[in-house]
Amino acid sequence: MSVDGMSAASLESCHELRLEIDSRLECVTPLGICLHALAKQLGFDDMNAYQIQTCCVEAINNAIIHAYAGEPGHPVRVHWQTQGDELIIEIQDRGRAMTTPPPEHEPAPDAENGRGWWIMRQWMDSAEYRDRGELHGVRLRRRIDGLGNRA
Amino acid sequence: MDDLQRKDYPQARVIRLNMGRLTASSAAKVLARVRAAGEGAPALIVDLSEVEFMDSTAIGELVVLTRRLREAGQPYCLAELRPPLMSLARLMRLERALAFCDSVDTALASFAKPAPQG
Repeated sequence: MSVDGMSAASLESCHELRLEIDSRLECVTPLGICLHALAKQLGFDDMNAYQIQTCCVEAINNAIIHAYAGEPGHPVRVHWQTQGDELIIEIQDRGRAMTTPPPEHEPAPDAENGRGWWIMRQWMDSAEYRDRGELHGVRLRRRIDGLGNRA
Repeated sequence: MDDLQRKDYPQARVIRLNMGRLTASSAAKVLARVRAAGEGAPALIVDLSEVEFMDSTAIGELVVLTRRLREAGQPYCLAELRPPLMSLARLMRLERALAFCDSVDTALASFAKPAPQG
């Protein structure tokens, strides 16, 4: 897929993309690069595209590490769509569902883990866990604001 | 080119990570190698200027590295974080847990200062 090669017009008329990787951490980086490029094509600047990429990577990592317990051979799907002035990204897996709600508290600065949900909540307009039976994952929302960016 | 580049100065050893990404798939192994490469040096400066992307797993591994260096009594700092990564560090209030320096030169100068008397 050559995202950089797409014209703005082709992306304006394409409001929905689905990407899928195998549940291996080494597959996350190229997918993250694709998502960064897609965010840039929507008009986000480097910093905002980086924030969106980071939030997606956190959700994808969670799917691989927690839902699939690090086991390769399972799908992790990214559903990227624009609806009006909003970007909606769903990261979905078919692994083990979360049994407790995602943490809402700010992690301690010296914590060794537990930062992913905090980052997603701070850098996206919303980040929610959705359990739909066999399919579950994270829905991230971010205003596009007429191709503008966050201050 | 080696993905860890080492340069020794009288007051510190600089280890530059020649990799664009420090992520869940690599961070634990890379930072264990950094720690091993820094053993025996008076101080350790980790040059992150080439790192464009870091995830929260990598941050956790930096916390682990910091803890081990402090336990060993070895001064250190993380230098030259790019602006996006510095914004992530501020978001997580990492300045309270990790040691950052603007540049390798700043870090070298700070480690060269004599210890306060008394």
